[in-house]
Amino acid sequence: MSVMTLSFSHLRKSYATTVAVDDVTFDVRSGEVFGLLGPNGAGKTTLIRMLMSILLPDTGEILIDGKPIGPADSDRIGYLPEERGLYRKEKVQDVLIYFGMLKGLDRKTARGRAHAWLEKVGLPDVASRRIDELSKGNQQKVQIAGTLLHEPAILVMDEPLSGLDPLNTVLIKDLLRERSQAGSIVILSTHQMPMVETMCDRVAMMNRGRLVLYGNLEEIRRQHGEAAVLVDVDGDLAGFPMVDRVEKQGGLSRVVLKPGSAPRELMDLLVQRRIAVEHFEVARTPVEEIFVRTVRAAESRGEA
Amino acid sequence: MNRIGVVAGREFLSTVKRKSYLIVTFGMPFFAAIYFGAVGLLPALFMAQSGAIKKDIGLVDLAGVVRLDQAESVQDSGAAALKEAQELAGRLAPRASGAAKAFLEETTARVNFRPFPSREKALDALRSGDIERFYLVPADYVKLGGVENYQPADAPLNIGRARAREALESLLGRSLLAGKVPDGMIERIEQPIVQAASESFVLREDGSIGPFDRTSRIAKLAIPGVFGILLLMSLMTSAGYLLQGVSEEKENRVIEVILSSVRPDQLLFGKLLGLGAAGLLQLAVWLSVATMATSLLAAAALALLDFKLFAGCLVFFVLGYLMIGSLMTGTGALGSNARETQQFAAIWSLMTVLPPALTWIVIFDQPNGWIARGLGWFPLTSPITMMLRLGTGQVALWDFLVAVILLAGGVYLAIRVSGALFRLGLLMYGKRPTLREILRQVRHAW
Repeated sequence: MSVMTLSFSHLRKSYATTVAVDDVTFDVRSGEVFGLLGPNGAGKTTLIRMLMSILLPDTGEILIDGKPIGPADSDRIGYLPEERGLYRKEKVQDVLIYFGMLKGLDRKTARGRAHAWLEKVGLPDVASRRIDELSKGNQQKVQIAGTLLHEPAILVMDEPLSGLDPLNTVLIKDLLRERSQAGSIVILSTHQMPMVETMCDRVAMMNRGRLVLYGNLEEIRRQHGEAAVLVDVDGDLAGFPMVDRVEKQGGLSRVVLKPGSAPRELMDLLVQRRIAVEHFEVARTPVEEIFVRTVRAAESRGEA
Repeated sequence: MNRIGVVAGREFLSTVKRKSYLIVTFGMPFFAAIYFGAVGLLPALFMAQSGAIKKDIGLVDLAGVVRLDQAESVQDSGAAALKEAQELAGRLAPRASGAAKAFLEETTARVNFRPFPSREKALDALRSGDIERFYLVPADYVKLGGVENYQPADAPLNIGRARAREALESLLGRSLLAGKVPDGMIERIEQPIVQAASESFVLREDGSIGPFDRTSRIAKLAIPGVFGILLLMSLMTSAGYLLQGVSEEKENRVIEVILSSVRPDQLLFGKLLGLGAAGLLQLAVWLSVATMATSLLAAAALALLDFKLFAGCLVFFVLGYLMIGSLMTGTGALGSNARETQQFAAIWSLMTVLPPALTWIVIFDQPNGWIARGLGWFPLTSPITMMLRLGTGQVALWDFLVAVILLAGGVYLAIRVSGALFRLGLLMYGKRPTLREILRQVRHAW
């Protein structure tokens, strides 16, 4: 399977008083789940709308395999907007068939796909019910089915899991993984950090229109995260030479190490001093923390 | 093109299935029937009653000029008029002719004059209610022309009174002429031109003479009229549904999904087609119901006689609908609430209708003058103006084609620009875009 690359190149888009997207450049490749992160107003929605040709960039371009994207490419894109909407008074299958036909499917294919995807999202028997008879979570699943119906090469989902219970969350995550493995580009725009941690291979983080972090999630952790361990020990570790500080976290102590120190050094010292250890776990820095720290750092730089 | 069809199909079906659409479409004829039944029929009944002259009219002739034998011939011409009126009524509305006949008979019934020797005798008869009223022709009548009218104080102001007076005038006229001019001449003096016996001819371009065709004259006015009204009605109804539908999609955010699939101008065009079809269906239902009820569609049937004119008007109807409809929607989408949206939409229909409405006399009089041609070629005023111009039958083919091409170009521009505005309007929730943003969008539209 050949790899498809979606490139955002020096994109810029400003509104009357604000710059919504400011010189943003990054690539997304097929076969990966890509996270687009950022606080409210970071410019994610503007970026997505430009990808959809709903908005036009002031400067810069979006390329698929090196070719500028145009309205004709919209059939290859599936978009789940953050603010969900369906025709409330219409039948589930009518809405799905309409969405499918808008993406270029003929009526028969659209009908077949509508039923197939309803089954996949676990709603095999709602086809002829009215949208407003369904629960909110089920409406959301119908909309996700509508987004996937034409099996798009590029899938853009804005907060796909909000409002879903844990079982349905797993279901939708599996579906997205499946699409990614089938060779689609999957872009998730989200605030939900647990989702980013478990789903995304690479991320781009935006703040106030700028790209502040971009790359492989593990690498970002390594570069921006602190070395820390979760321990349950008898005694105070604050005086240890490699320890920067100790925080309480649940019943455990979170020991943040000084830059340049590895968890192993702490372990060695504990053994050497014969301190009883009930629990010792290398703590991965939560993405959320990196996110918050980076945004704060960027803002203080901006203010300075 | 395909996507336009998808949008049009959906808009048509979802509109036609709307409860409000069904109520308006099928409920309106019932409502109209009841309304016009009440508003139209009751006054007709009252009029028929007030028109009836049930008693004799008294006549006191102090001048000695009235010849009551002439009252017979007054009645004769009245009977002829009655017959003609009844025939006309029968032609216009076969179903209604029964009621119409009764009405006409009642109102044109014989006015009977009863002579009285003196004012006192006549007053006695009026007091006792023997007569409805009486007229007194004074001794100096021939010199001054005055007559006296006596009636009860509570006599109603009805058409019976006017008819009694008309009958008296006719009787006096005939009495004065009787014996002085030949008998056959009296009727001509009373009615110098009889419409039924008159004929008109036209001198054709090839030099031959043919009968003047009243039907085609009516068609020349009726076809542009029918199409003009149809254009306005379909603009009003479908613009209403369109704006309602758009604000609904905006509100439930479906619009984002749709705009990620089709271009805004495709969406706009598809919506116009689908809703236009729904609007026409509604009109067709109304017209067919109206036909059954009143056979008013005879006028439309007449219109079919002039096929060339019909086809010409149809072209301008369709193009005009697309042009004005797209402008209405494009600007309507910029409105931040329903009222603003309606105002934006109303401006366009005014701009379409007002100029030809103010200058229609000039357009009819000089269909190839600069006003008629200018308004006919300018895309906004073109639809209505061209319908009027075509009605005169004096527009050259090249002139017609120029107008069609210019209007088609206008439609293209309007749809592209409106598409851009539409996109802009749809993504702005509750705030109005700046002029700069509007211009930028329009510039990017192609």
